[in-house]
Amino acid sequence: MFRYEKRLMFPVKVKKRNLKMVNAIITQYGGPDGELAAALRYLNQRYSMPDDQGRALLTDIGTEELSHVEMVATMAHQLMAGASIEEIKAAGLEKHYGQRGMDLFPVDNFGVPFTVAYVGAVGDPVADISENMAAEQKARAVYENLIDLADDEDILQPLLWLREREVLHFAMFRELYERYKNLEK
Amino acid sequence: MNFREKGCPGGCQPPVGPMMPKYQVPKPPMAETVPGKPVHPIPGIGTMPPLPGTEPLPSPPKIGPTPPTAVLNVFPADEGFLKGTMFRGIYRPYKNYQSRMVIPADEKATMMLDVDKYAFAAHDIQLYLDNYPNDQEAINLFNQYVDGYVQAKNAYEEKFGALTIESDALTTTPFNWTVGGWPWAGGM
Repeated sequence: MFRYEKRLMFPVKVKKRNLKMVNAIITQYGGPDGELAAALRYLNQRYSMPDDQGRALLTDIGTEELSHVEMVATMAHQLMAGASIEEIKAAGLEKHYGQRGMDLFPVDNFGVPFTVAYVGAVGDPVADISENMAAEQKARAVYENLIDLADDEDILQPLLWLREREVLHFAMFRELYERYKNLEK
Repeated sequence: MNFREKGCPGGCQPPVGPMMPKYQVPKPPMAETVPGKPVHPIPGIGTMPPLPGTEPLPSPPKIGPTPPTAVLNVFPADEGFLKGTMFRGIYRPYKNYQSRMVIPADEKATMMLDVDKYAFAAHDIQLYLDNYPNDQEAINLFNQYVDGYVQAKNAYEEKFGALTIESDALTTTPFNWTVGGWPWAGGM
């Protein structure tokens, strides 16, 4: 089961509004290599892991990804909180505002809604874990793109931190992959 | 009829019974015997059941791979938390960007930072232990960080309200869970 702890995994305190940055960061909320996709991918794959250590790692990383979803959503929310209609128009967010108001919505940078087709799962631990290694690398690359775009320390620090988590998760999945790849069928 | 002949008696059937897991995980080895322990010379004695209540607890079977033998190369909790990894060997910074912690604005933020960093350190060691459950050094480290987290969390909750639903801070009116700010709303 999951229980809520009333804090972020890493502090997010954005003081400066930046609606264009919302449009970029939102892909790590609802995009193909985003945190929501990662959480569902790992929590969904854990049922077919062949041993308890694999089940543990996918549960624990999948759970952490839910905390990352919350961090990314917090960044997006704080970047646009209190925006005026003029600011919304200037950032080209009329469509979002017209349909969703000031709510967040899990989409990618092109406005494509989140889809569970992003969840890789083929019921083969070796294939699934290598999928996860690729997913962590793609998420790391996307965070680097976002870091390149960021010009505010309040956004930069959580992005750097989230990027480093992708590096760490890749290393953890690689350890599991190395062990699983030699299992006999 | 020879069952090894081509075809099957009564027609070929798929195997009956539950589907087997695709990959076979090696069974954990039996609990180890103590090396050098003398075998009792008198036949039969060695197999006598121990007196009730005196049975030694069986040591848990070792599962999972042997952990790396070198000493765990970890950052201190606050540095690891800031960098986003506890493991020096895995840390890969991006370009020349520096991880910088904003100085906590007040006592609340300072105490929250303590909760965050110990929880983070314990969690990162936990992920490592998922892969290497036999690493006693990591288990000791994990427990140190959990202790740090519990202390920091209790101290925070006493002053600033509940972080989790079993907190001691939830006995008063109004229900403390609903006050004290929410993480995304800038209150924490």
